[in-house]
Amino acid sequence: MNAKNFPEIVADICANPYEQLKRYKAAGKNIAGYTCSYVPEELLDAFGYIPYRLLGRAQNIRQADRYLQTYCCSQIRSLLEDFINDEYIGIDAVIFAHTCDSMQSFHDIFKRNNPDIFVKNVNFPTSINNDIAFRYALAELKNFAAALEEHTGKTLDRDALVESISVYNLNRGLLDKLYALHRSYPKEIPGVTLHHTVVASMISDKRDINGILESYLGTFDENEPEDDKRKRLMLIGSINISEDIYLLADEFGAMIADDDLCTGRRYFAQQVTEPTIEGVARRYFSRPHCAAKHRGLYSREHYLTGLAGKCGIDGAIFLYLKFCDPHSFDYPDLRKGLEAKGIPSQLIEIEQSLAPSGQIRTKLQAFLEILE
Amino acid sequence: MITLGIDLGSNTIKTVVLEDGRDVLGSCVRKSGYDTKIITDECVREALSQAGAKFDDIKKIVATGYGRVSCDIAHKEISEITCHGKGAYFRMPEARTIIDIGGQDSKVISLSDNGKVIDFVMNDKCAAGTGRFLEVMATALGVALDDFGEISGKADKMIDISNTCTVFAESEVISLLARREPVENIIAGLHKSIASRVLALASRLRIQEPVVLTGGVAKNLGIKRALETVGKINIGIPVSPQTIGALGAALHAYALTLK
Repeated sequence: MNAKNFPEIVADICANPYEQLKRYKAAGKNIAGYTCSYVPEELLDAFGYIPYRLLGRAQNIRQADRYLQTYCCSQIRSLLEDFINDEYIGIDAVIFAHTCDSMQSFHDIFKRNNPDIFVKNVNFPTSINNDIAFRYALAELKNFAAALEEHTGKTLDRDALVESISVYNLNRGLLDKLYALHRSYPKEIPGVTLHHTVVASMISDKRDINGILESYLGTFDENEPEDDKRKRLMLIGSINISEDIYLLADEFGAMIADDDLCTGRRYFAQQVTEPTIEGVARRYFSRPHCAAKHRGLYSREHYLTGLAGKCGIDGAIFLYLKFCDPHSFDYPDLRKGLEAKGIPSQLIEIEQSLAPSGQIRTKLQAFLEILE
Repeated sequence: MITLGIDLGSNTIKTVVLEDGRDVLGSCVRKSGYDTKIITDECVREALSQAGAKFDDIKKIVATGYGRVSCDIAHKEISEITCHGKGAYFRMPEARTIIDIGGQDSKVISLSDNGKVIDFVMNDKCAAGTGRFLEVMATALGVALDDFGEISGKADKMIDISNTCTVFAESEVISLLARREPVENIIAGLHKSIASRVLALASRLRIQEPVVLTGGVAKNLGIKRALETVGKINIGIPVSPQTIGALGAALHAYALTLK
């Protein structure tokens, strides 16, 4: 693989997630699908699994609607549709983490109907701001490690965990550097490459991605930063599997400079500073959290306004999946908080299983016309 | 100097021919139909004919509305939010909030004192609160949509339509007819339903009066009455509310000639 072709390589992985799974299965690897960034990938990796983020790719939801109410978000309905369509056939384990009610219920339905797959829910606490919650989270991760030991018949190898954490920390550092370089070289590293790289990292063995990503980033070390005057936008939301918002921003002469997405910065923010299970748990208590977790009334607002200031953001896009309760409840206060710091915002609600509508185009274009 | 604005909406295509960024010389409104290009050409010809001008006289063209991306005669495309803001402020400079109820969506737009769009919200889940909602109900009632305003003016009460969903509300209307509720009260209730939906959308912004109603639905005075009753606000309607987006596009086209 050539580092110069890196954007095309990750775009291809991102566009063909089922093929990536089949490639690993053909190579005899064990795959653990996971649904949430609160699932400790390092532990799965230390047990020899390739963690593979289940994002839900089904474009036409038909069968899932027989089992789930349509007020479940399109991520969960797409995921179920994918499973019904046997897109993840051969997957060895499916790991959930407690976040929203819909995901919790999906776990319950999935576990009951798939007795032959190792299914586990990491019951991560909702509050992540006190020592009792930390001890609870640590106990849950240790229980999870014990369940993996029982299922695989292996004992958790401390050296393997140290190595896994090192690999994941390297990936996080590289993704962080990619985001920083994007702001200096937004034309050479377009926003859509950030999206492709994070999603490709989520569904690949990190060892396959890290080397080529490091080489790609190295090609920018000597270059002069680009003189770019485009308006800088920040995306805020849960997951986004579509590249359309990045391409539309480019088309309208703006750029997605940074984000607070589960398929973005939240995935790689913060390193594990101690190569133990405690260290893995500790990272979750210090990294930026999602709307389904609680660290304080103003924690997300302060974090987002700080990130916006650091990245020179001109406007924020709340990119929400329709019917996503946790994010929708946070929205009014976050919008006010950003507005108080002089950062205008616009809400765009999407169905991840549908092509972008004319309304998304109109909303983004009108918002950028306001920013002009 | 002649400029042209074209608003390619989901339901209708509108054109405005403007002279010197000041005087409307011609305008046209046509149903979109299946071939947008043919209807657009007809609409442009009609507006130019009213203006006594030729196509070659046009210095700049701006397209807006959902079909704006496919308008190959336009020099620039601008969102309908910005165009409605510009057009409404031109007609009524006192306007600070615009409610635009179109064929497939509703928008509420906030303007600054100098007429710049500062914020907006759009409905984005379904047809509730849009012109399409009223079209479906007109069919269910067997009443021409153009008569809704006049008929609802005779109502002695606004019946509560409890369903927001267009499909469920249609069933509810049919049930009301079966109960022999007067049609004028049902239509007034439908107007109230739209008004409630749009005002709920508007409440996400700071509604600052005067409020101006634009879009094809503004021709229905029953909607104006319902918005005023439910929202306890005064609503102004500009001249030719349906062509406000096209007017805004023509004004933007004029601004392009000055660059």
